[in-house]
Amino acid sequence: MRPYNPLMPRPLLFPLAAAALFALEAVATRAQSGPLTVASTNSLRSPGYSIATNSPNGQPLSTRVVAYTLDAKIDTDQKSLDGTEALTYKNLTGQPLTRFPFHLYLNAFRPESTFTSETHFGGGIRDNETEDDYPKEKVGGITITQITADNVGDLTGQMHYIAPDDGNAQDHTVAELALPQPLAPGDSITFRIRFHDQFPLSIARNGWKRDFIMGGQWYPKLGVFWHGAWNCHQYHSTTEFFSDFATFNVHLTLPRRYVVGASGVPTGEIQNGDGTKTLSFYGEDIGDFAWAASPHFYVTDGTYVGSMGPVKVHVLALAAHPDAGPRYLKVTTQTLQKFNDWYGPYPYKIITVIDPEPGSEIGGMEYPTLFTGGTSWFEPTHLTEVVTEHEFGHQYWYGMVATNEFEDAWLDEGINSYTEVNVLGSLLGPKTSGFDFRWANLGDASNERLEYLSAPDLDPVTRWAFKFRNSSSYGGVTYGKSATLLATLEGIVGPDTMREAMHTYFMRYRFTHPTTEDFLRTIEEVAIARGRATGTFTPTTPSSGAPTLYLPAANGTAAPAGTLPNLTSSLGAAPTTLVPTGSSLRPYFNQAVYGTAVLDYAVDSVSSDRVQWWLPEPKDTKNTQYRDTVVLRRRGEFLLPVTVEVVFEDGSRVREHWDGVDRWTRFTYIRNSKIRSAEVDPDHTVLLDRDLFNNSYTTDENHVPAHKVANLWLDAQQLLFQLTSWLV
Amino acid sequence: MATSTAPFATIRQRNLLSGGLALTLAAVPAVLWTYLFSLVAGLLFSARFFGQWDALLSHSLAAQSLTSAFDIGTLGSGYLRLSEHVPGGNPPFFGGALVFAVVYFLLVPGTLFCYAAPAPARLSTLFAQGVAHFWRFVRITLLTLIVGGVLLGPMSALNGYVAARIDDHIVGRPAFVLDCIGYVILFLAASLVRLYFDLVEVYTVQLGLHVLPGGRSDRRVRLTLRPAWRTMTRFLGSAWLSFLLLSILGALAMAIATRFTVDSLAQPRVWPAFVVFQMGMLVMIFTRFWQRGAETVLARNQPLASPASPARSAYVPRSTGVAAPPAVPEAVEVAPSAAPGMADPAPREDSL
Repeated sequence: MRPYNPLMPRPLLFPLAAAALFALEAVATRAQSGPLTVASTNSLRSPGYSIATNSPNGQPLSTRVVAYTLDAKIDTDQKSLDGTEALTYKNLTGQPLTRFPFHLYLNAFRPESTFTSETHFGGGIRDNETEDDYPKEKVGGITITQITADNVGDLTGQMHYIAPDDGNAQDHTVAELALPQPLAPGDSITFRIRFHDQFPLSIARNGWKRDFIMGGQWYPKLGVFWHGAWNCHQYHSTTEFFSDFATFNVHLTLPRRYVVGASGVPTGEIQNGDGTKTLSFYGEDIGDFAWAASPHFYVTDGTYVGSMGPVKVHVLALAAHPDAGPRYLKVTTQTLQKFNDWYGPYPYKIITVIDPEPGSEIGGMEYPTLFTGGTSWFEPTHLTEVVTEHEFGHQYWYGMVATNEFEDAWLDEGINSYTEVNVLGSLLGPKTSGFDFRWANLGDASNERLEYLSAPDLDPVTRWAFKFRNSSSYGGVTYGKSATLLATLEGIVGPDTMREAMHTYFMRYRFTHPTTEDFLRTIEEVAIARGRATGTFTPTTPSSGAPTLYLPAANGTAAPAGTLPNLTSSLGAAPTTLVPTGSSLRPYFNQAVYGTAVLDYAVDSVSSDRVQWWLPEPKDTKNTQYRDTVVLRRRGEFLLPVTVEVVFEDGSRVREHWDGVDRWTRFTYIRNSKIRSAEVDPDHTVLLDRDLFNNSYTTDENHVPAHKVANLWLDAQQLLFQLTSWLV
Repeated sequence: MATSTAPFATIRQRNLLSGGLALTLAAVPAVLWTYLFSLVAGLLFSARFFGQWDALLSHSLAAQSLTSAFDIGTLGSGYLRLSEHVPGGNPPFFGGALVFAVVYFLLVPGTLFCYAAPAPARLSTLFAQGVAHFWRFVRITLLTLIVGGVLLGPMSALNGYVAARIDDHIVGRPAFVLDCIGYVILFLAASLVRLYFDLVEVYTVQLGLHVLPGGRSDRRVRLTLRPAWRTMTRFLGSAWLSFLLLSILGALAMAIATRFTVDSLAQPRVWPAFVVFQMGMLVMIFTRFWQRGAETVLARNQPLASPASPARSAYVPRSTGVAAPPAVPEAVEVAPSAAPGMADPAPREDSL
């Protein structure tokens, strides 16, 4: 454990946490006393206090590029929504902007869309839609009925669909608006939008099932101006999301019997005369807003006091899963603790856990300060914990370290899978974090590795998410290979160094949009500083073209001085312009991260022959000299230094090192003992090795494993025989 | 229409379960042969599988997590490894079932013959009678598939429809229970189909005991359909309950054995799991043959009238300690057109 307390001594936390919690309750009480408007919410945002975060002195934690105000009336019978949106965008790009792209994700749920086409032909991460018909109830959509801009007028007629990724004119998941006059740098513009949503029968994290409704990607959302251009990809079968940090002031009106969980903190509830109620939520320093509604939620709440203040863990589990509420609460609280200790503080005042409707395609999914889990009424494994931990982890790797999930999916899913393995291994045991029956076990690390082995070499982890060969390769590489390569990296640099690097990466890049190189150079920097890698630091400046490694950057560009909160100084990461170059880790990164080479070293042969082979076999073998030989072989194209441990029958053992460059190498010993075993990677840290079975050879034959597996196969065969026999 | 007649009514109506058990025990070699073929076929079709895994695991330290534990990750990576690198691909899983099904087509009629004759269940007898009855049983199996498909297909679709409607409104444990009820109803229907065609098979063997004027045994399956139906419907309660009881008994034995096998996975010894599972398998096969015995007793209690005249047995029974059926059974209606049918001077062989 590596306690982190950047702000204050721990003894001071509890009284301050209690005070903050009291303040939060006071806000909620005030909000419930009457209608809550945008103005009233803003009035609460006094200096020194933040509604939705535990930010010190109430400072914004991010560059809040957009301010959304959303007012939606949900028709729970028709599974539709009518909403209004006021979107204020501040041009911090340093250049005039004329065009504004909007995501209209719900339009993906139509047979003509790129999402559906890709899902149909290449598979998807949820429902594969391989049938040749598209069910009517799975059609969803979002329609903008009117869009105006303050001081500009009605722009509805200017709006048109674009398809920047594949040119599919029928896609309709991105629309673009052109202003008659450019928005000058530093200026703001407010768009006012009327829109109508039709939610589909649950598909790809979204929609409805029975009377459960998941409101994800439900409003027109602006793209991100990043690296000098708008970044607003279409919705694809495998992709997730990318957006600017913003504030959200949201009002949802729906029937009173519904219980709602949403991003941000709840700020009020009004009982309307028509049998509905209006719920208000406020979120800040978040990039998206989602909600879920069901009349069957029951509430299980808890509080975790982290290093930035108290966090309310708000669990909405379904009545059909009576054990789920406490289970979600426990693992979420435990995960909060681990992330707080290992990577950095969770700054928001709330985390809401939604138990998705059984049989739906919602599954586990992350949204800022809210995520959906996954369980069932009978769930004896740790799947519930695995999903919960994973989706919570996205609060860090996606929510705060807001990487581009279209172009760098491995930075959120891969890193998150890696931290998932470590957190769950710590909580549930490395070998039993998947399940731990007394008759069998599965570790989460093994699960990730199996996923990697299912598609090890089709695509590099850095490939854009929608350009993978298919969804299987996307899953295997983005989740499995990424987690496995990072676990292997942990073996190379050491667990402590890796944890420090992850901590540094989080603290440095939270509330920004870092890239792959930002992440890798952070690892290099920490590893070099800790003597776990070699390399030099080269002075550079952002203007020289090098990545903006040490300057927190909004939108991927070096921000003008004064436009960003001084997070780095307040939270402990000192700015510098030194960039690590020529690090000894770079060859590993080039192969594992940017390449597709397969890592496979093997013990090719082991032999022990008498030195005086021409003489008769002596009876006293203890005084017989043997020529012991171990041959190692590189079967893959991936180059990595190799450690091999040779164990002799007299109990002695020796470790050898090989640079792993040649195709093979031989180690020879003259000893009075035969070899008992030889093992490549004796510490079992190189999980990226494709075949762990050929990593070792022992002369002690053991047929028990094969007998076990074959006995199961025999049993299955005989059961099949009996099943067949019932036909006669 | 002929019905049960006085002479037959005097025969003691044996209890299905005890009578069936006596028949099964008398022909226990048939059970043992069936089990043995199941085991041998299973071993034969597992040998290559074992060889592949043994080559992968026996000298690897990575396999230790499968010795005194059962690590699914290791198992999974071994499977993926073998899936990629085995020359000729993975061993066929369904090949053994095909072979066993063929053998079973011989053993079942042979066993039923030994029950009906009665005769000692020697392997030669089983196979000889199996060959003799082979095509009759193939035809019955085809009929089973057709009737089963016609009956169970729509029921299955209806079950799916109802399950979908349930799913629209009910979730969690109650939905699971309701789904289970649907599957139990399907199982009960399937068991009725199986029971009926079991009786058809028993009557077919019984019919084959009689020699036609041409000197060959009567192979007309169609003559057994109606008697089997009448017998089943008339004695539905006892027949079905016996059938279900023995089915559940067999399944229970298998479930216990499977549970033990699974629970033993983490143990460093394999033989206890092997022995217990094989015992479960033997019990399951035994209960299936017990079902056949009970059905044979039922068919003996309601025997076919001989369609041939003069009737004589095609097989000279030897003493087995089990009460033999009357040499010239009379009585039950044979077919819808029984009376004229029985007078059919030249019945076509091998026809339905």
